[in-house]
Amino acid sequence: MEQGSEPVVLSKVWETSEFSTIYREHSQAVFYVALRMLNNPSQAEDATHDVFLKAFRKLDTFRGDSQMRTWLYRITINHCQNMAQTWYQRNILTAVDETVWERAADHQNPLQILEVKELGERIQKSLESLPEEYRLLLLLVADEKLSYDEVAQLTEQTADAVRGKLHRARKAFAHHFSKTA
Amino acid sequence: MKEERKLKTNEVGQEAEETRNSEKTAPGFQHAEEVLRFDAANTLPPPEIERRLQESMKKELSTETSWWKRLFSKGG
Repeated sequence: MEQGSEPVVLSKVWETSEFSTIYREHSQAVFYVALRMLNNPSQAEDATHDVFLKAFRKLDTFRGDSQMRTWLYRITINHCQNMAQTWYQRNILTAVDETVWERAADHQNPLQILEVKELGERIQKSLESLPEEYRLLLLLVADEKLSYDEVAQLTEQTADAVRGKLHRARKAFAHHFSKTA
Repeated sequence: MKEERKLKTNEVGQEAEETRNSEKTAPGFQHAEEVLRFDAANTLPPPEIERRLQESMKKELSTETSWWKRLFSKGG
């Protein structure tokens, strides 16, 4: 009995170490999208944890016909949309601890912290002014690891539609961003 | 005629320039994606997430192990 379970445990340990590589490679991208989708660093932390835990549980269902990044984004988008739709999210305004934003902008130099924090706030305000579709589109297109086809797949439309909407999304973002200066 | 065509070409060029400018987000950044890319590169996930994840995964694995043990002890 013990002999039979040992390889299972060992293989799981191996999977765990492989998974830490996946985490290191993609956690920054997942956290950033969650942060900008939820506008709350604590919730983005929770979401990132939950996304990777879900991915760990479902790793054997990952077929490899899409990129790992695309697969993780799919889980992230669904998870964040669910979080944003909950009653709690809709009705209760949570007080966001300012230090959490500062930790999210991880820099040594206080001036840099301020600059990145300010930029982050302007970006967040601009994104919030956009329709959800544009916001998601810009966040995904900003990831250079994703092709237009993959963005199209994630947003359930054609690559041509992505290109068309991207133009309008950029314009709308630029308009709102200039107003936040 | 030629003059008219040239005018049209100029108009198209002007329109393209206006479009490029309307998409320009801030000095140093050409498009929204560039600002977002810069921001994303400077936004690191807090290390607590990795620690929490490791704990959660350990818990999951230990639950699976005891599930196997329970299965075998029932079968045996």
